[in-house]
Amino acid sequence: MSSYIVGATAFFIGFTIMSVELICGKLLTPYFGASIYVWGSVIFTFMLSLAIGYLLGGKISLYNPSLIKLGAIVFCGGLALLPITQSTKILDLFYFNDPRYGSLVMSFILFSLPTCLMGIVSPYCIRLLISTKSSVGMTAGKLYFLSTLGSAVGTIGTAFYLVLWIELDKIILLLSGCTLTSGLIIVMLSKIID
Amino acid sequence: MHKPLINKLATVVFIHLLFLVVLDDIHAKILHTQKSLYHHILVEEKNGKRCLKFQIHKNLTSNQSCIFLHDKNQFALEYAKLVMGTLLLNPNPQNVLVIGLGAGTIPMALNTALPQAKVTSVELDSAVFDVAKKHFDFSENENNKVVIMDARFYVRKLIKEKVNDIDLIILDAFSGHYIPEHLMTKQFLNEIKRICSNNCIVAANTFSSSTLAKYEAATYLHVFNSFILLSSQHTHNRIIITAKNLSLLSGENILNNKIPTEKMLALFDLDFDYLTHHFTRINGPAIEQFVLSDNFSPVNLLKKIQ
Repeated sequence: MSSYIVGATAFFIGFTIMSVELICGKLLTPYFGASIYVWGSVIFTFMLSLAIGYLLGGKISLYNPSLIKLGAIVFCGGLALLPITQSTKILDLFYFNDPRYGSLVMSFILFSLPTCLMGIVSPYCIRLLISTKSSVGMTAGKLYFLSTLGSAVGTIGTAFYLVLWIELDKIILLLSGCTLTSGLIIVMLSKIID
Repeated sequence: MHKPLINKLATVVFIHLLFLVVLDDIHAKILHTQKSLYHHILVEEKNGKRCLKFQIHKNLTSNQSCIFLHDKNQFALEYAKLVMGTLLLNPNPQNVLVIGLGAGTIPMALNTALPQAKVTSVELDSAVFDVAKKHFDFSENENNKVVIMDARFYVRKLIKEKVNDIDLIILDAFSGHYIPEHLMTKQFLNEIKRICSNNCIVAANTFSSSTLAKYEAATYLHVFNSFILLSSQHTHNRIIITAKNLSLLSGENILNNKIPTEKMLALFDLDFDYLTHHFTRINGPAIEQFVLSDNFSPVNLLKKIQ
């Protein structure tokens, strides 16, 4: 049971990360243009935040890993997404002469925390699923598969459909709501399993 | 009984058409190709015209600007000519902003017709600027400048610098497929309005096909309350002409400008009767569900829906 929960979490977080990344590029465009450096800033922020998240996730997984803690991390990720719904107000506070560094700074202010928190999830999930030393590679492979599959679905789903149906702020609100709910469900299920 | 004859005729017609297609391709001369950061740029010469194109895929290109080789001062694309019709609403703009340089035909024409006006063109792709200079005789001078920057960022910069004296704004930015999404939203149009003088005219080159047209119209109505459509007879182009001060769109103002603009319009092979005949006034409240915003502007997706 717990392996299904962990797998579903990895898929969902993969979906959310890519969906948020696409929306973030669009949110910055009215302020800094649609130039390549805006996407460069967004991708750099996400990559760096994920890298830090992976490192932190590995570290945290050393101390009594549990489903409850995973639920709490996912919940915090959802919470950190909420300020992005107010991005227009935040972006209006600043003005930058150089759109390259402007987009990079604002990208960091708005998106680094939720991405970092969601980056913690993958290594933490791997740790929760590992039973023997010899199965580490297999477990990590399966987790990467689910997480990357989620990212692929999140990319295409957002770019092709979500932006056509819902406003950008509402997509972020929806993702945040779903992430918060997922965190709570994981906590509840872990208590039932225990 | 006549079947063999019909078959023969069909074969002859088919070969003839094939020959024409092949010949047409042979006649097209590619002068320049370049993969820039934003576009696959193509400069092509065909049928006495030189055109700047953006290649979308192998067999599909979109014309950005064209000039006649025998007379480089004449517009070879009808839309560019129609854009000049906006002078009928404000014949004497002092500060002009052109968003989207292309081959530079519009800024050059404005610089010729209004030598005293300061024309600034904003272009995202520096390669397009280089091609305009090299293949379309575009040149900068004191009153004709080019800024390489994203137009949205440039307009926000002007707002920050408290600029509010632009008399004519021409929105002609195309990414190959269509106008970039962030240059079609109500927030962008409101920003445009903020840099406008009281006599400012805004002209946007748009297409009338696809579902997107009603979204565009609703967005312009939402911001400006009214506009004039100047539609091309031969293509899907339609110029949306609007103003901060709606009295500039009135029939009275247009009539008053008939004589002062006569010579200027003749430069572009335009006349009062032709333009006013193609004017369609659009008034009324915007349908809110169709208004494009920074929060909702899936332009390319809407353009696909017919």
